[in-house]
Order: sequence, then C-alpha cells, then structure tokens
Amino acid sequence: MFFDKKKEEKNESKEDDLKKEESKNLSTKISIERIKSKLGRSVDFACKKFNVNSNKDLPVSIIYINGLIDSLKTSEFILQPLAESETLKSAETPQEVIKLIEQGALYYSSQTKRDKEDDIIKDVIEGSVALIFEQESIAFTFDLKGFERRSIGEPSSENVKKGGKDSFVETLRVNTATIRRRIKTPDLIIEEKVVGRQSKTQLNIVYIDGITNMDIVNSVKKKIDEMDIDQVLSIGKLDEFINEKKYSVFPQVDYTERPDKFCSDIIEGRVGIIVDGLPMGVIVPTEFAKLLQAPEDYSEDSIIASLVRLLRYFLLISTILLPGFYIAVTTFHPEMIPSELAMSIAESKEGVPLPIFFEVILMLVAFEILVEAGLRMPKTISQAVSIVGALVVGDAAVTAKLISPGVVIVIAIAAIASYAVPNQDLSNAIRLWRFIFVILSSIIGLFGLMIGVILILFNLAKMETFGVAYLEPFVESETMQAGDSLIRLPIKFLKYRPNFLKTYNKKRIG
Amino acid sequence: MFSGCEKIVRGRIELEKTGFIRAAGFDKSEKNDDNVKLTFALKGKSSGGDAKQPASSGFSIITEEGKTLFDTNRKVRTFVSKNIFWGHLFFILIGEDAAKDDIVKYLDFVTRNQDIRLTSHVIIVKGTTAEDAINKIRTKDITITETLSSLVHNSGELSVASELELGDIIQMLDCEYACAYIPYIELNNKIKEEEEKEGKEVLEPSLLGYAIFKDEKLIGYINGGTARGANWVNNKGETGTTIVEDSKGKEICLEIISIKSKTTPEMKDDKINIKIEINMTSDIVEYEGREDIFKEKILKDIEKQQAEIIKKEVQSAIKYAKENEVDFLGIGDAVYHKYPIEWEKKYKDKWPSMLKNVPISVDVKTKINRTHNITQPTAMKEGNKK
Repeated sequence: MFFDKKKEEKNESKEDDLKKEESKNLSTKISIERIKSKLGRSVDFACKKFNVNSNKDLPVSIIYINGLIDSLKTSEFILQPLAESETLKSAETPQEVIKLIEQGALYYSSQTKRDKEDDIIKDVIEGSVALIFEQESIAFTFDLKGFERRSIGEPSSENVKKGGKDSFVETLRVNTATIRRRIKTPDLIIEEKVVGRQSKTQLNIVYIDGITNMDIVNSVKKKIDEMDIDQVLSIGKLDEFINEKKYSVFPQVDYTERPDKFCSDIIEGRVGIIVDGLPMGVIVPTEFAKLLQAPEDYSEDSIIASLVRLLRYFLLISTILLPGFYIAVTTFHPEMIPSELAMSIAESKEGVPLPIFFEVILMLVAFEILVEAGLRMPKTISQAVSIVGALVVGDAAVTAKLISPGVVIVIAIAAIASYAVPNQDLSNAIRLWRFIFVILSSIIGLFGLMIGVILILFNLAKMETFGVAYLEPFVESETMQAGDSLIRLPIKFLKYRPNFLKTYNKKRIG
Repeated sequence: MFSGCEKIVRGRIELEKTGFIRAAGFDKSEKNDDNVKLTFALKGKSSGGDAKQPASSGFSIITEEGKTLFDTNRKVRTFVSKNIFWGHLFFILIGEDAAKDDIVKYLDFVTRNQDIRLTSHVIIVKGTTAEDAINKIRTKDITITETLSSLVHNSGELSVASELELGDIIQMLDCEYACAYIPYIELNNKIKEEEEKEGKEVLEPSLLGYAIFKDEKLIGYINGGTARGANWVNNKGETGTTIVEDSKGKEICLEIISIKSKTTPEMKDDKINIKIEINMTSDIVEYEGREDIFKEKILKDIEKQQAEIIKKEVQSAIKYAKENEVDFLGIGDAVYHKYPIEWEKKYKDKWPSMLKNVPISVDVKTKINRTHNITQPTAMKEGNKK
C-alpha cells in the first residue's frame, strides 16, 4: 500500500507537468485540429466548417456534441442568421463579423465569448454550441442544451397529504429554478463548484445571505474543495466527504426530494447542496432531532403533530430496546414480568429448543433477509416471495416449535416500529444498534441494556457537524429551544430560528 | 432497575425450565414437632418423589418436610424437574397448627428471601393445614391462586377482611404494643357433583374474617360483625351493607358508600379516654315495603338504626380486644403518637393488658345520601303518603 501511494504521487506529478505544457500552448491560439484530436475520438462529436454569407473570406467552424444540443434551435438561431442575416451581409472581414456578433447579430440570450481552448471544450461538453473563428482565435459558445430530461413528478418516498406535489429532478438548473420559485429574495445565493476529476459534476451550494452563518457556508465550501475524487454520481460520495465523524452509522446529513422541505430548511438558516444528476437536495448541518421531523408535522394541527412526534420518539426507543429488553427480562429478571404473562410465555416456549437469545437473533436475521431480498427482487415475483417469507417466519416457525410466539411478536413490533422513523438512514443505523443491544442484554441482562444505552448516548453526544452538536437542542439547558423537537408548538410560538445554527437574523416571526 | 443483580452472578435462566410458585403452604410437621412442611402447586409434570399427580390437571402438588423451610425448598429440587422460582409467589398459606406454634418462624424465610415480593398475601387456614387447602381447593380449571385472588379482591365488598400484604403483616408483628391480624379462610364442604364422581374431595374456601395473634401466636378468630367492626376502626373497610327496618318491620337495605374513623385519645387527670369517631354515608339500595321512607323523620330513624348497627359492631370488636388483651384496633398506636412521653413512662410495658381498663367511647355519624333511580317504591299507595 505504502509503495503504491508513492508511485501514484509520482504519476500525478507527471500528469501535472503535461497539463502545464498544454496550457502554455493553448493560451497562444485556438486550433480546431487540437480540439478535434481531443473530442473527435467519439462518434457523437460534430464539427462543421462553412462560410458566413457564403463569403469565402469569412470561414467559421461550428462544433457541438450530438444529442446534448437542441438541433432545431441551433439551426434557427445560429446557422440561419449566419447564412441569411442582413446585418452580417455588410461585414467583410472576420473582425467585423465578430464585432457584429458581440453586438447581437445572433439573437440568442446565453452567449459567451471564449478565447481559450479549455473553456470551449468545457462548454461543448456541457451542451453548448461553439462557433470558432480559428484565424482570429476567438470563439462564441451558445448554451443550447436540448437533451431529454425527466419532467417534475411527484415525490416517490416522501409523500404528504397536504403540501406540494413536486420533487427534485436530475437536472440541476431545473432544481435551482424550483428553489428560486419558492424563495424569491435576491439574497438567495446559489454558488457553483465542479467536483470529480472525470465526471466534472456541477454542485450547487444554496444559502441565504444575511441569515445563514457564513462559517457553515465556508466550511461546506472547504469540504467540497477538498473532495478529490473521480466522480460524484451517488449521494454517498458527497456524504462521506462532508461527515465530520467518518465512522458513525448515524446520518449526519439530511436528504430530501421535496423542494418545500429543502427551502424551509434553507430559510431556517441551513445550507443546501444540490448535485447535478441526483434528484435530491442535501441539507447540512443536520442534528438528530431533525431526522425525526417529517414534512407533515408542519401541515397538521400542532397538537396532532406533537402527539405523532412523541409517538415517533417512543417507537424509536422501542425499536432499539424492545428485543434486548425482552431477552433481559425473560432470561435474567423473570420477577419483573407480570405473573400471568411470565407463565404464558413459559408455556408457549415449552418445546422450543433454542434459548431466547438465539431465537431473537434468528428472527432479526430472517427479517433482514426479507428486507434485503425484497429490495433486490424483480417486482413481479417479490410479492410471492414476501408471502412465503412471512408465512415461514411467522406461522410455520411457531408451529414447528422453532421460535416461540412471544419472540415473533416482539420482533414484529420492533421491525414495524423502525419504519416509523422518517429518515431511512437513521432507521438503518438503529437496525445495527438493535443487534448490539440484543447481544449486551443477553450477556448481563438489564445491566447490559443500560450499558448499551450509555454507549449510544455517549456516541451521539460526541458527534458534531459543522459546529452544531448532534443532540441539539437537548445539549444545553439554558438556551434550549425545545418548541420544535419532542413536540411541535403552534407556529406563533416558534418565533426564533434554531439558536444552534447561529444565524445572523434570529427572528423569523415578528 | 437492577432488581436482578443477584441473578447476574448465577447466570441466565430459561423460562420454560422454570417452575413458578404462585401459592405456597407452610405447615408444622405431623411427625416431628420441630420440622416444617412445605406444599406448593407447580405447573407441569414432576418426575416422581412425593408428588401427587391428579389425573385431570396440569398441576402437580409437591409436599416435602424438612428442618427449615429453605432447607426443604432445596430438598424439593432433588425430585422436581424444574427450577423453582419464588419471585412470583402471591399467596402464603399458613396452617392453623403452624400459626398456633409461631408465625414468625415461618415468615422469616419469605421476608429474608430476595426473590419474594413484600406484596404477596398471607392467609391463615382455619381448622386444617395449608397442605390440605392446596390439595382440595382446586377444581379442574381454576387454580387455587385464581380462587384466592378473587376472594381477596372481593373482600372490600363485605369488609369482613381486607387485602393485607406481607409487608403490612411484618410491620404489625414488629410492633411491640400492637398485635397482628391476618385474614383467614375456612374450607366449606360444597362438593361439586362432577368432582364427586371422581371420588375426590373438593372444598371451597371462604374469606370470613381475621385470625388474631398475640405474641406471634394465634389466639382466635373474629368474623362477621366483629371483623367488620375491626375494619371500621382500622379504616380497612371499603363498603358493605346494613339492614334496617321501617315502622312496619319491612326491611331497608343500605349500601355503605364511604366510612372513615378517627381514634383520639384524651388524657384527663392522668387517666386516658379513647374516643372513636366514625363518619359514614350510605345509599338506599333496596326497600321491601311500600311506605314513603323519604320523610325526614323516617330518614332520621333509618340513620339512627344504622349508626346503632355500626356502633354495635365496633363495640363487639372492642370487647374482643379487651377480653383477650390484644390491641388489633391501633389504639396503642394512637396513644403513643399523641402522648409519647406518658406512653414511654406509663403504658408501654403493660399496654395490651391494661387495655381493658381504658374507657372507649364510640360515636357514629351517618348520613343517607342517595336513593338511586327511583325515589318512591313502584306501587306506593296514595294513603301511605301521609
């Protein structure tokens, strides 16, 4: 490993040298041949030479990538005027043509003047049409993107009854437009970064100037600048680079495919990141309590929302602790179970060969198998498999006296409860911790369970993302704003933005 | 939270291999006066020994004798297939002989054992042994625990006995000047036909009153009105009925809704007087006559009759206490709390015996609150209204 790294470093430095040489050459003159040698190796590259107004003195080249551009618009706005425009007819030298184009002889809004080959190539790859005057070493690029894109549809997993039905799509500009349509203040800043040595993915950082703390924005930018990887085609790549505590299973960023949730978080004083090609927004900093908030909470009555949220916390705790607790009381503290229940558990376990610990582990693993298989399976057969799975795990295992019914009930409650958590990443983290709790409590009972609770609290309390403690708003009693944590107070009581975000503008109401 | 610390050392258990004891009986051995006898019912089969396995039931009854209870409890494990677990013990039955011998000797094991809850109930079996009770109070479907729990649970309806927990009883036994009273059951010979065919004797228990203890030894039983009187004074009674008569001798039934008593000692010229005040309210729940009983004069009469009944019951309890020199009415306690200095000097050493010389007055205040749905009897004649 160590030697490999050294070799790589050497290679990289060689590459850098090559780049420097190239850029020296490029700065001098634009050469179509060189561009062709770079892009022309692929079949979708197109390069056409023709003359302005069929005047042989005015040669011009047009290059683009097939499929990325809208060819109809290209001929209507670029090619047709070049051939027929009255204004261009007066031009006799290429310089005059360039001057006229700059003054608006070609009527297309997004037009950029370029004099470097690198910039031209970049624009062409992103879907522009380049008009090159080779002799003058000047080029114009027109943003004429025209590839197939998915239209804005309904969110697939975060559905709400009352609320917007749109969702993010794969196209970055469409997403930023969706955000702009919701936040119309000019203070909304959308900054661009390009990440990925090969993928050159555009990545936009969204925040509101005057609200969002710039320390958070700057550290997000710094983290993104530090990303030196091949590609950012999945959200996990970004996630792992942004996380401050690398090896924690608990999610430290929040994802959403709902523009309304994204926007309300931005207005609250958080920073959003949108990645080109990914139909979701990433929100940082994210604290634990935020992961248990669902978009519905703000569209329902506050009392109902509070009760639902309390239920969510209760289910979160029971999905982590219930299997461990069951093992602890049945194997170590039978005096804690109500007498009748203890007798009936004992009766139902009569003839089951395995200790309760193994039963629980077996059932948990069986459940994980069902979940994993259900994800990978083709939709047409998944139903049949899940029915068989449910029958085998539930009924048949009990009838065959492999598993006692009490364990089936406990695992079923724990498994269903884990899906009440709005954030799937959090629910996955909990699934892992559940095993830890099961093992601890099977060794020393409730004492082990408590050790596990202390461990998990210690783990969570240590975490911090972008200067915000993970357990906010519960970490400090003096400045605690618990109005939107365990419960959700009516909106008029939520007067201030969360103080841990250290926003410049603290009040959101009044 | 760490109620099972001790278990951690011993390691884990498996529920299906554990035998839960819900009711256990402690007796004096018939063969050897020093020995004790332990009886309990265990769910599931046992593998022989002294166990008698009734053909039709999933329970086996295990009886074993030994020098002490804990020793016997260990001896049982040599022939019982399950690990015996005392944590769910709910009823401790004590045979009459054992209670007459020394109840503390038998209760020490259950109070010392960390598994057993102080909320379990202690019951004395009148006239026979606890072994007998466990063997015979059991039909096909209903276990002794279920029978006894419904009895104890319903005890408040009649107020002849009450739910006394092990903790309360230990407290009473610990008290130097008071004496303990423990609910007792009597086995009645109501044989059910079905069981009779099988040639098995089945007895029904009934909870009738209290067994009274003096110096850890059983001296007698109180039941009926006397037991109720004791309950009224000790504030252990919940509800009950009293039956009074109207002017024509027709019966009126009253349900006691609330009853509270207060014992106040008074010192006058170095002599102590005890005043027991009872405040009660009741409803008319049944009337067999046709008169208009809601005239103030008649209501007053009914109230007076009721007060008389309650007073009589309390006086009968006081009489029993005075005759037997036992203080199960908490009178000593009241004196001690009001006059601690005098108590230490004068009364402490000779308390229960000097009880008979203490004048005790009983004052009952009753009130009839409600008459339920109808105010007048259904077929009340016009002429009776006057």
